[in-house]
Amino acid sequence: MPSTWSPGCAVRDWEQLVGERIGARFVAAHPEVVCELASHLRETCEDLINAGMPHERAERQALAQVASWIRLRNDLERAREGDSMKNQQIRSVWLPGLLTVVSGFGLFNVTEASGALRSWILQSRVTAVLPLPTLHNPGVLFAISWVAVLPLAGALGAFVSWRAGGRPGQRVIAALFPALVIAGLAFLFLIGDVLRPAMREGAALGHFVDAFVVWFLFPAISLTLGTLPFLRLSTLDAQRG
Amino acid sequence: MRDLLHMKRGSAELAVLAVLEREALHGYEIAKRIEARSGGELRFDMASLYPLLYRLESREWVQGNWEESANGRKRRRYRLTSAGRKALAPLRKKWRTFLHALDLVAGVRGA
Repeated sequence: MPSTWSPGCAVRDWEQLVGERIGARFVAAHPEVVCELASHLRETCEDLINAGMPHERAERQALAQVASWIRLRNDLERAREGDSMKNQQIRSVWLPGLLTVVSGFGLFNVTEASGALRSWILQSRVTAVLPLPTLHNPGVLFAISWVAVLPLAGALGAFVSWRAGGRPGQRVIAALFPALVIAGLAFLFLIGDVLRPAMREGAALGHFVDAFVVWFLFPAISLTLGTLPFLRLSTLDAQRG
Repeated sequence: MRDLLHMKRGSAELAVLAVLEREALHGYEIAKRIEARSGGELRFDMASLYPLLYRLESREWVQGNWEESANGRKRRRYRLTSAGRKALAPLRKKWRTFLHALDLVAGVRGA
């Protein structure tokens, strides 16, 4: 937006002055507000000069309307973004995230009920490729079967987030919700175990490393893989759609 | 303290909506108009006016539109929306009731 100079207050570029005081981040986010504030200051200054006040004093008096630019910036941001930002986060992160959790754990139940993937994994070479000591554990096998279908849930979360105008980062976070839920639960279990004497001696530390890989890292990677087709789509396309 | 803050904010909203009721104005004109109508008693500085205008705009009580004057200056003119017009009547009534009650308690009107 080009700066406009005031004939009455020609010594000042008011937009530049407002920009310097209110901060570059705000200028980048709300250039139209900067323009409006500059216009207000310029008119105040011009009126004071027309009423016979010396230039410098008129400028000082115009600027005295703002006791704290930081406070003004915060007030403006709250007024401009407050509600809409909250709603945008709910639509593009929390709701798709919830949907990802429901679909992710829905797939968990389907996988558990079918057992077909487990049989396939046992017969395939996956067990030879992945160097995990507990891989032949039925629980681990089940986790791998679940991880194999999780990209579907990740894709769903990323798609819904994209449709709601979510940025690429928000689409990934929405897709990662099931892994984050597991991480939260694991953290609680870990705290419980650390309090037990056996765990304090480090006996089950290896178990936790495996569990972290199988129940958090693999699902997280799998969910992220599901988001890939939706990460390259622009946010603008979503808003148009 | 918080109630006082709400009261102040509510009165500011009423003042802005009331001056926009007659015609669309830009920010600086709104401040001047309120000052003139109140005989110089009510003054809006820039720091309190624009956050208020944006809040009213987010509620869709006012709508701002950019316009360019003959000398190339861009200004945003605010007009009252139909939702704002609807909101104005109960606000007026609320303040009338409040001022009447305050008058009964403190005798402020005839002072």
